[in-house]
Amino acid sequence: MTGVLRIEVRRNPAPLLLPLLAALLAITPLAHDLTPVALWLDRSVDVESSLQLIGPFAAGAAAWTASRERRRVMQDLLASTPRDPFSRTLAAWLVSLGWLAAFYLALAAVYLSITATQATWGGPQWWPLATGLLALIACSAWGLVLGLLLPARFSTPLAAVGTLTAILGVRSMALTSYAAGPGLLSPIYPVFGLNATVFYAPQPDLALLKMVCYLGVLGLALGVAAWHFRAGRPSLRRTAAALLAAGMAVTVTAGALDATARVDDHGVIVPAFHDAAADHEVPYTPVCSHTPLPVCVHPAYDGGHELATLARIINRVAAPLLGTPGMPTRAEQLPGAVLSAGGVQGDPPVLAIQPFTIHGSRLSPAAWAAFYADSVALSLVVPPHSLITRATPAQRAIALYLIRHARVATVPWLFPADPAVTAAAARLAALPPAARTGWLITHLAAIRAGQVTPGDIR
Amino acid sequence: MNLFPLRLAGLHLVSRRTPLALTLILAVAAADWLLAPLTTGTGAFAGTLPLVLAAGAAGIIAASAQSPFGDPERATWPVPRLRLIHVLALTVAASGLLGLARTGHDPLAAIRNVAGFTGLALLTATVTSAGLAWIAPLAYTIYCSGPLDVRSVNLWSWPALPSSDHVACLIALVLLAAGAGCFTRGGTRERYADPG
Repeated sequence: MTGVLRIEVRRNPAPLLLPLLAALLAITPLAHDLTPVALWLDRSVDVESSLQLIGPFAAGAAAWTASRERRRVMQDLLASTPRDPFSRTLAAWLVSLGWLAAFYLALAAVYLSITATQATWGGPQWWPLATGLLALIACSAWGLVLGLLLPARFSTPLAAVGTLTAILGVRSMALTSYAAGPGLLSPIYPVFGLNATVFYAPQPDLALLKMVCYLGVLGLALGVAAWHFRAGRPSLRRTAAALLAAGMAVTVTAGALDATARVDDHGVIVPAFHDAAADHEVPYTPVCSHTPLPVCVHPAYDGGHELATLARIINRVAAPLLGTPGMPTRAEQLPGAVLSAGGVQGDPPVLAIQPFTIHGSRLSPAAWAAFYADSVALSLVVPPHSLITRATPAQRAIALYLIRHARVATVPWLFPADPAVTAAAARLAALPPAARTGWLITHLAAIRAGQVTPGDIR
Repeated sequence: MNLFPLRLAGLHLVSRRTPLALTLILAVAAADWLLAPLTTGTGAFAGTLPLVLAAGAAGIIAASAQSPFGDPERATWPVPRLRLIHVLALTVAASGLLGLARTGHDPLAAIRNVAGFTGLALLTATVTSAGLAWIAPLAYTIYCSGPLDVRSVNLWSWPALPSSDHVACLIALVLLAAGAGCFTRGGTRERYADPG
């Protein structure tokens, strides 16, 4: 078998795909994510999500290799060689898979090496890398099956396109349902949520569930492949049947476990795999900016320009309200905080900000930067934990004044056209600073309680 | 000389496994229709899925273009015309089917993308081989998922633009014309005949 593998390594077409994959990686957002801020788990999940790119080509390469003998009408010629068709096909598939797996591992090594020089908190996480590798093997195995079963000319494009469709389609299910479900099993669904990255001890529940599922899918694929060759080697019939039965049982088990999963701030919880004792908050000391309104982030976010960027935006928006009683004394990154549900909370009041990574020194694209600034402005005036989209006209008027003062664009669906709101914001801007502060001090509680109308702002 | 050799065209289409190609394109269109509810959002996954399926249809058309006869066929006179009939028939069918599957979700964009990706796949087929022609449209689709993800779609990612963008339509038409032209003139690049 070693000889066959050695020959196959030299003549396998998979290495020809590697430069293309490297070029694609360089122009996708995965490469852009390599600039700080560097979060270990985020980077590991990035490597796992490279399956969206490598998986289809692994399936295509496997299908191309599996259909080679038929494509070149070599079956009769090779019948005289010592190896049976199943061994030859298996060797070819293993080498094809090996090249792509080596590429995946090299990518992981590069990603984690760069992360090691940038990260300011935590250490490498191996679960996403392991699930990604197993998903890659499963993608390649189904490529092998399609290469064996379909006519040669169509098997390769169908294997590649089918794999990408499956990966994206299953992933989209998680986006559309907003809940646990089959979408969790997509190779590009993050094994860990961003909150779990730094605030809680990472739980491997979803990684284990995915691995069970991919093992089942792999068993099914290898079972079908072995069944295809049963005529040439009768002993394969039993092996194929066993692989199919085991694969089916494991896949069904994974599906049943997936139905019990739930998503929360700590990540995905699968009761069968969950270790409640290991699920706890990780203590940390926040890092704060030295700005009029201090902005504090988790130390993991301290590596790049995240803190400076957030402090600049938040201080620009909140500047006219600083020092007003009831306004926040600091803004702090907190687990569970979301942009769409804002509000100042606690005593002393704190503006909770959602954890997210900023690569580079500014928010981009411009639409996202505008949305972020607008959501900060609305968060300052809506009640705690309330949706910013449900802000009252008076609350929107105050926020609009803040946005215009900060010279930031408004997002139409947060600030729908309303002449009363626009006029109230203009009247507030026209007030002398002392009068404006006095009016806000008097009315802030009523504004947050929704008891003020735009007409009252004068 | 018969300008449209009907029987020969039929035999040519059968030799390219056109009926199977049509069946597979129909399956791709059915998948597009079934997955339509997952593509209603504005995110990268929702935006990329229809592009992947359009690239799949283009890959099937290009794979179907491979000759089972190899060099002997190149010496015959009506082959360029037969190639054009074959590729146009499949492109029209694929555009129609995928457009129909995307009814209510910008079907014109689906038609444009099938046309553009088919041109790209045919160009790739003339440089590499018909069996590997899917690589360029699929790689380009993966590239387009990046701009979709960061919401900065421009002409470099023209398949992700809405059908109202005339320049994107022009790019797709130019690609189709170039691909069909190169393929009609020289066929796909093959080192051996493919019976499959």
